[in-house]
Amino acid sequence: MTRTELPALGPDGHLLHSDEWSEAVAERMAAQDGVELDAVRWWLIRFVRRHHLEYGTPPLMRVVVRAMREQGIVENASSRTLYRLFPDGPIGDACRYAGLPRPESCI
Amino acid sequence: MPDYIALVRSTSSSLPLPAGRADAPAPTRYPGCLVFLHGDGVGVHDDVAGSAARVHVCRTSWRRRFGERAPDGRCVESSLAILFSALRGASRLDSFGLGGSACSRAGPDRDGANTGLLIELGFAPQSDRAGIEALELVLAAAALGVPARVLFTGAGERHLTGPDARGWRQLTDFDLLPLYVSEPVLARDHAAPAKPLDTAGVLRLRAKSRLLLLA
Repeated sequence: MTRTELPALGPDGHLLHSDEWSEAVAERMAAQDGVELDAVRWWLIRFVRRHHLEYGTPPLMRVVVRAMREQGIVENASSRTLYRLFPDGPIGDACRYAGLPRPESCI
Repeated sequence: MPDYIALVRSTSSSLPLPAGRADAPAPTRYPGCLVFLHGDGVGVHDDVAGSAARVHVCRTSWRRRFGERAPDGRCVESSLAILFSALRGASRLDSFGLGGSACSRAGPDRDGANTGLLIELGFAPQSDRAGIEALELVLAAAALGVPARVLFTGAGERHLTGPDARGWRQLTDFDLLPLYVSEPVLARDHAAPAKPLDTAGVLRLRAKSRLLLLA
């Protein structure tokens, strides 16, 4: 794999093999989507990745929003804040760039 | 908004089928009822489709078992958000789950004093998938801000042990929903801290809950 190639992706756009993830891979996936991974997006991606590692599921949106406020990432953060970061679904997209499977639950 | 909800979470539920039989139970004969199929319960969709009740099928549970094939057109693909939204206005909830019997009932108290939902897990997960789907049900309540408590009784305590049990810990780590366990025997192996209750404590918890949902 060259520096510009991506590991194999599934039909849902998520990595087929999570162990092929790296921050450089995430950057390439985002660049392909025309998305710039700024500091706030990176905070979300890392938060989701840590949560999945710890609990086996992605975080609930209310958990992310609370952490965002408590850590002073975005003042007055809300679910709207998250949708501004990833309009197609903040947790799902963060999982994708974090090398995690697509969230299954229909919550 | 349905007044009566029947949650079906097992193919071995006691929900007598088919719905057209004269001795069919209230859930499938009652036009005001919402029958929600979740987990293994989606397996009975053919039997309840076309009954008088509105039949909703959990999309995630369905896709795990049947892939992209659509359910019977008489069923509505649905989500746990719809279930919990409907629960707000329901005065009765019956769960048809493991054990082959109707195993929960709604508290009739709607005077405003007892407004919480008690999600009670009284059976060990029958598979990894069943454990995950029970957790998803509870996480959905947490995600939607439903005032709920979670009680593990008997073999239900097994949800808190084993490699997949760590998911329950997020409920207490992030103060999402309180967890209780009735007379724990496996407390040392719990992946999430649950408050132990004696029999009197369990009865008090049930008494102050408006709806009891057995998952």
